[in-house]
Amino acid sequence: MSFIEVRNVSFGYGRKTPFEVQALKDVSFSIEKGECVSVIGHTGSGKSTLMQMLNALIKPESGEILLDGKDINENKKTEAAARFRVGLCFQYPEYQLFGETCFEDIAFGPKNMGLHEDEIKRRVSLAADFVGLSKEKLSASPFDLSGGQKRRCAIAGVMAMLPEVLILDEPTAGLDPSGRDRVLEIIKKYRENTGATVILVTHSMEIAACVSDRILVLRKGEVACFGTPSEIFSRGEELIEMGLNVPSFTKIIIALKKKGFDVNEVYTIDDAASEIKKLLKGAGV
Amino acid sequence: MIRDITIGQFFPGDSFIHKLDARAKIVITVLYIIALFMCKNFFSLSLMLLFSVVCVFISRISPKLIWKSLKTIIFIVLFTSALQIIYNNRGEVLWKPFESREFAVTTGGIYSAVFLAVRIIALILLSSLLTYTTSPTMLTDALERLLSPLKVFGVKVHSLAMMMTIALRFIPTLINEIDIIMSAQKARGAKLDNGSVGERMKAMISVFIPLFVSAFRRAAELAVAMECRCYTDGASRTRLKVMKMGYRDAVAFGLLSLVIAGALFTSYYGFSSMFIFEPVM
Amino acid sequence: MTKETLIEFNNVSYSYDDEEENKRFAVKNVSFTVGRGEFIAILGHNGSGKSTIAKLCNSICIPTSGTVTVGGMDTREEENEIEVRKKVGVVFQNPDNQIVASIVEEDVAFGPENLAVDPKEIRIRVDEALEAVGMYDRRFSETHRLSGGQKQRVAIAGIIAMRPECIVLDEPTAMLDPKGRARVLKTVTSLNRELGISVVLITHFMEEAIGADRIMVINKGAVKAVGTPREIFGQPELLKGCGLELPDTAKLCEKLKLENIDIRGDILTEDEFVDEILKLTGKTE
Repeated sequence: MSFIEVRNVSFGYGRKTPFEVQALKDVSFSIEKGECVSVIGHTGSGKSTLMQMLNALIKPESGEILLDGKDINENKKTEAAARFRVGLCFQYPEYQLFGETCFEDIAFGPKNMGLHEDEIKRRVSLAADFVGLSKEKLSASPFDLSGGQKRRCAIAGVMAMLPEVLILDEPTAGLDPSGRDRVLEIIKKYRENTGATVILVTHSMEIAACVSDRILVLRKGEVACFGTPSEIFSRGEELIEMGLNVPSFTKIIIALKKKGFDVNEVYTIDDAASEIKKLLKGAGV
Repeated sequence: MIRDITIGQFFPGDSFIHKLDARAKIVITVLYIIALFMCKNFFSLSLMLLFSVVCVFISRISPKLIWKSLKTIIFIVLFTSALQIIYNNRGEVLWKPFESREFAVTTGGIYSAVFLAVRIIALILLSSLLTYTTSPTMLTDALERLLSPLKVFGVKVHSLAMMMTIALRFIPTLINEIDIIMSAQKARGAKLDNGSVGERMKAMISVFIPLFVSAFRRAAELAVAMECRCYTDGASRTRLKVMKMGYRDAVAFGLLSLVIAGALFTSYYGFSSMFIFEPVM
Repeated sequence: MTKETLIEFNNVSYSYDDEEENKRFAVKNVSFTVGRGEFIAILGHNGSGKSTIAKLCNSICIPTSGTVTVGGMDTREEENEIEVRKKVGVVFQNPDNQIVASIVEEDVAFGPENLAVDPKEIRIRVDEALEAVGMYDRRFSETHRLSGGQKQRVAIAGIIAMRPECIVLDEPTAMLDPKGRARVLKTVTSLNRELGISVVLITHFMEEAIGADRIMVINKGAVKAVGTPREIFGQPELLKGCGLELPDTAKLCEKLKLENIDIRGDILTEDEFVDEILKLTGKTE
């Protein structure tokens, strides 16, 4: 039995209106404990709906979601428990900040869990440490922080609940390269320190390739493929057909292959460089 | 789910009703509502109801959508009807729970309960048809023009209309935003739908503060974007769609006049001895 | 550049007072010109002062010192305001917050309506603008039902309908998914190539700047470098120093160079890279 099991889940929005959308169609997959999985797909592929289902914010119309072998939608109690065991950080989470101070904002989750005051304090400072917010920033208003700091403060708000499963929906959206690297670093740190399972929703194949153990590709509410980065990238042309944002180096490798060169499919830029180096050496350059 | 709300929405089309001048539609709706309240008996009321049902039919708006807008007011309808049944004691007594005539269920009570329900339904039918078949911009443009005589008294009619346009434009955006913020805070354990009243109130703070912050940010950005598109006070603006009353509007007014005349005639002459009653307001 | 100058920044600074009443410079001693029909990309990380430059272009912001002229008109003069904004339109990052009306075509008409254009002429302009951005089929749609990329294209159409000579886009793709981003970029490029409208594209995505005639790199409010894309991408150190990241293909070249492989340093696109490999291996067709 896997840690998270999604079994034949379906869901639709706006049923019985002209704007009906089938968000998920008979989706099944499972994730092991401690794994890092990236979920990739277009806007409207059902990613966000699926993520909200994993912590019982949305109930599947049919099918079930098991956490540690138990159906999370069984009753109100299991739902509430799932909310805390599975931490979900929404897209642009800085738009949900509301506390008078960063401390208060980060403490919101732990407070709702009914934790003791000392424990709340401990968790807030732990989470602030994960995301690199200094002590003095904790007593500042979240609205006075810079864009990147706001994002990190909001992520800390979810991390402070110390969820066993951490889901982040597009955590790097709208950030510049240095902001993006910083957020990815934070996620790595959380994972190393807590051993948590991490699910990352992203548009970037590069991010997916370099941080995750497995990649889940969703298309029009269905699982298109699910496997290790090398398995997924070996289907490069299929991914391009799906209209996914395949990295340039993958496209280059595919093009070189078509020209008759003997190169292997790769999923990091370093591997691409060494493949091409090998190729050039072989040709005597 | 909040996203499913359809009130105040516009469903584009090219029916006779869609093509009517927005000003005409507003005036017709207002006249119709006034006439509704002057109806005294079921003959006149049925005539009025028939008018709005025919309008719905012509507009080719799906009856499902109409039913949706009716569903939201069904509570009000039931409530007013219940009041009539309890407090209206005219006519024959059908059931007397207490000694006195007070609170008794009477024929008069039932008549007026049904009468009021039909009247509210007719009212909602035509007014929701107005918003379903008229784009928000046309609606506010029309209001602006109809209200323009108020400029004499120093009322900034244009600014009011622009505010309404923007409000209508941002309602769906903000509803969506509330939906997201609520989900995000619920994900952090906010007791928005399962706590005590006090807990819920407290949890609502975590929704309202981000919402206001976001609304102000949106307003500031929108103001700059409007300036970039050369918006000034709006006094000299032209419009993409020129409003012109045409033969269709004349036909619509003609039909309405006939129906109203018919309704008033049946209310005050001829049939006055049948189904007389006066609802308690 | 022999092209006729449309926008000219002459030693422009823009400062504001922060909470401690210190002068903060968002833009410092910036000089550059935008020629008629030119496509310029301004690159800089978040907070580098890029957005202020956008607002300085059409007198939303007035320089603290120095001058900005548009078609010879000084943006400081209030009587030039409308004329300047007619010539230079600005599109912002968040498409939601620049759409005024609930229906697509009514929103696009907003600008021409403000300019008191004759209704018949507005109709023509709205249809043309919607055709230009590929949204004509959606002209009766409700704006809130569109995707982010579609909304952004409607926002661009709203500017095009005012018949500007230059369109400034301030991170127009930052909030979009890859598909929406590609489509918006294609639209912007075609406006420049086919309609001859000058484009100033402000972004932190390096790959979006590849198609530009010139690139200007901004850091901390000051101009760090100006040149053609080839010239700029040939200076990876400078870009990294400004918090920017090379596009994938250029990164790959850089890595190969570090391995002492003699490959051209100014390769921009994937096709160019593949051609270069073919040349190096002597496999040219």
